[in-house]
Amino acid sequence: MDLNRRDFIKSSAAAAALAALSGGKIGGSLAEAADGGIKWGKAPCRFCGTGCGVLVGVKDGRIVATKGDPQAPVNKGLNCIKGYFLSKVLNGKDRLTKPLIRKGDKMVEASWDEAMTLIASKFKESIAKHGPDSVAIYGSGQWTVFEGYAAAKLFKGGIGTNNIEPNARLCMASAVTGFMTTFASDEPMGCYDDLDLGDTYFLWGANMAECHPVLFSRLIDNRLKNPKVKIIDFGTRHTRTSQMADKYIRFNPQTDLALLNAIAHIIVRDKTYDEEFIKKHTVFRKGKTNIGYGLEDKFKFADDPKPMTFEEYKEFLKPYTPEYVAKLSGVPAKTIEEVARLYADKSRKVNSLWTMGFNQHVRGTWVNNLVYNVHLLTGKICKPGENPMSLTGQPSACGTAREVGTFTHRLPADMVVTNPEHRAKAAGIWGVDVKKIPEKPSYHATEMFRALDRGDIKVIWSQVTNPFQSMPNLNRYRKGARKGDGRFVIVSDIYPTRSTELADVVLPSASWVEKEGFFGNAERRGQQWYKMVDAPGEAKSDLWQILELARRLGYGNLFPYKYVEKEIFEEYRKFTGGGKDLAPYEAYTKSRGLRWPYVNGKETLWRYAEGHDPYVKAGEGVKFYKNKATEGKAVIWARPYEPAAEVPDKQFPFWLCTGRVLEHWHTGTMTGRVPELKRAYGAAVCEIHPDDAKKLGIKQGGKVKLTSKRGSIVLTADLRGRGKAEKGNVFVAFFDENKLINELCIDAYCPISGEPDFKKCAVKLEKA
Amino acid sequence: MPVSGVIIKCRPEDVASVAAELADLESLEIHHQLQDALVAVIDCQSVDGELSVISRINAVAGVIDVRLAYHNFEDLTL
Repeated sequence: MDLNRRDFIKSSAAAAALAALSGGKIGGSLAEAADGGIKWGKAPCRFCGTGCGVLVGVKDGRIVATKGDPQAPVNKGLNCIKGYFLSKVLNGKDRLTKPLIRKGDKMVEASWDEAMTLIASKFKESIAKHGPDSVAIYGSGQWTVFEGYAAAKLFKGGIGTNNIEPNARLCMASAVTGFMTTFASDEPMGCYDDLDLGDTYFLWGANMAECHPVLFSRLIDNRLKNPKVKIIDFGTRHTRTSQMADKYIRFNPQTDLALLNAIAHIIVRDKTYDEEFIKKHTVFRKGKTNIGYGLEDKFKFADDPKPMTFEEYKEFLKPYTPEYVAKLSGVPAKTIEEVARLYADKSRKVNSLWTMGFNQHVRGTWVNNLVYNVHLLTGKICKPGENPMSLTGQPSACGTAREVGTFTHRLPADMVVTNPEHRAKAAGIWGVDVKKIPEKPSYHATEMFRALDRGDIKVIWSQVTNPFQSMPNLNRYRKGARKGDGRFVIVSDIYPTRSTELADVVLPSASWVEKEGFFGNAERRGQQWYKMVDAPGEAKSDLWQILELARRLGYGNLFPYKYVEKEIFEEYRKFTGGGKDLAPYEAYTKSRGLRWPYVNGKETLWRYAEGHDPYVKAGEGVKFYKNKATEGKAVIWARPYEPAAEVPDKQFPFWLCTGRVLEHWHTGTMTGRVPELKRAYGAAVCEIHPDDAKKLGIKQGGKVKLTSKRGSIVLTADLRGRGKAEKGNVFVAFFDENKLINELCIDAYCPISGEPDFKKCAVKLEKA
Repeated sequence: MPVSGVIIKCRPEDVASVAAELADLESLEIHHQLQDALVAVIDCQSVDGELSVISRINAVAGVIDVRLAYHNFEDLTL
């Protein structure tokens, strides 16, 4: 780069940073003047559910720059460290560029026609021999809305099977069932503005500083401006978040259930609840107890809700005294009292934030219910700056998986296959016979891979995800994929992964700004982007691939679109009236995203709240209007503490928890491509407490062997990393394709949500 | 040479000391000092280099976090 150009670019860089700091007031035009030759286009970030706005700079058909979008309300010109690598993750040398077909032990290059002909024939053969439920598609919270919609329409309305599941079953399913059982509608009532407007933030099992860094920045900025702001971190492991919080509260795994009930107990005991709010806006319910863990194939559970009175609920809470819960959780009774006092403090605007600690939990639905209970008892909900907020991990687990409904039991916009009215509505919009859409859900994700193992599913297609690295009890499912006997596995991805290596056909996909797209983030904000560069080689979008299969199976008539993305969106939009309203497509192309319900040209920031949500009438104050069964009231659920599926014992004395770190996204297929990121946080390590390490004779950097009932792995021990394990606990991240930690994880799941518990199983440690 | 523009967030009472500490850090130029932040430009041989600089910044006492605003890599061969 010549000196003049370099100086221009450095001015741009400084100007962009200034613009971000000043909210666009300083620097904007300076930055633009210096850019010369770069064309900028907007897109939401490829990575997490925060949904930061990014401006992507293209020159001569290549991405040459990125910057935080100063006009994006989510992040106002900032990106986190993964932002450095947004374009590089598309440019790894081993990008898949041609379809590959397995011939014996080798994967052989093929044409698209060859590959799609083979795939279609396998689908037809299996459907003819074994029925439509013998084929399946496993998609993703990283699918665009168009892709998810097309897949759901093809499989449910064309092929006639409910065998469609997203990887979001593994991350957000419990949040969804929490929303559905408490409010009868998915997705948060608040938005990111609550991060700027509140003063009290309880983080539950969520390492926000690493997993939602830009959102965490907003909390930090709030605290810097307002000394009243308190951030309290409940965790089973000390993280960067704990370090930055005002208070870190360590608790025994699984006892979040008891802690939340103890907080409710204190609020009831001290009468610090909002009696009027409870009367006007809530009902009480109890469900079944001892509900199991889903460890047996085809495990089925149906809850049996029964009404309760407030008095009965108070009785239910009686055992959850601070003293009892202190013993169970390891949190001092005094701290529990202090937390409950803060939650109920009328002078404070209280928020709870959570992600995988609550969701990847064998009682994930229950713990989501329980955190809502505290907000409902105190009336601290549906107010600007005061809400419980379920944070979402993936960029479009909300927008695609949950809202389009790419689950076995779902249809778009909160609707379910079990409801005949919902099936009729879907059939009407899709233009199919209502009898096509099966009324019974088939398999959720874990059961889908069990079915593949057993042979009840023969043909499975995975897109934009990596199940043969991410499934718990991984060995069973990896073996299941290669059992032959009519099984046929198709994997669409952008790089070779631990899943493509088990496939019969590998299809090369376009990624992110190599195609037109639409994501929906954690605050109900849908964001659109246009294609900006070509995909490499012969790679094609997952959308193209789905439509191609549809055509070859004889369902092309379901997709008679010219401008495919826009027409799919407008068709999908028809489902969304009455509280999940989406705006017309153009509105998204012109804006930095819009938060639904979008009614009469306006976004909704706070759902269910008078003056903010157009569906709430004057005088109603708060109305959970999607809950028709309770006439607009939310449900306070009596959910007890029940232990984890597998608890440490003499033979396996440690808790194993798994999760993410800042530098790597999920299974590392994209971020693993970047040598720099690999160096910053290279191979997966085992976080272990120094006292535990000492007892085992393990030193920093030494080798430790972890073993569970399901598998074994040798890792490097980390006693003083950014994340610090508590005694009796170890933590391993799951990004490393060479260290398949999920082989050790247990495939126990929440019986209500089907979401596996990746946070708790029992392991033993030995010096290796 | 990849070039990035970053915001180094500090408490107001720490800005001056952080700026002083970073003053002679290779590949880093401080362009603006504000009440609670520094605007800096990182200019390195590689993205790896940029990341190392970020780590160095994060390790300085008084730095709350580092945020990325702009990244240009037009002459990086991949």
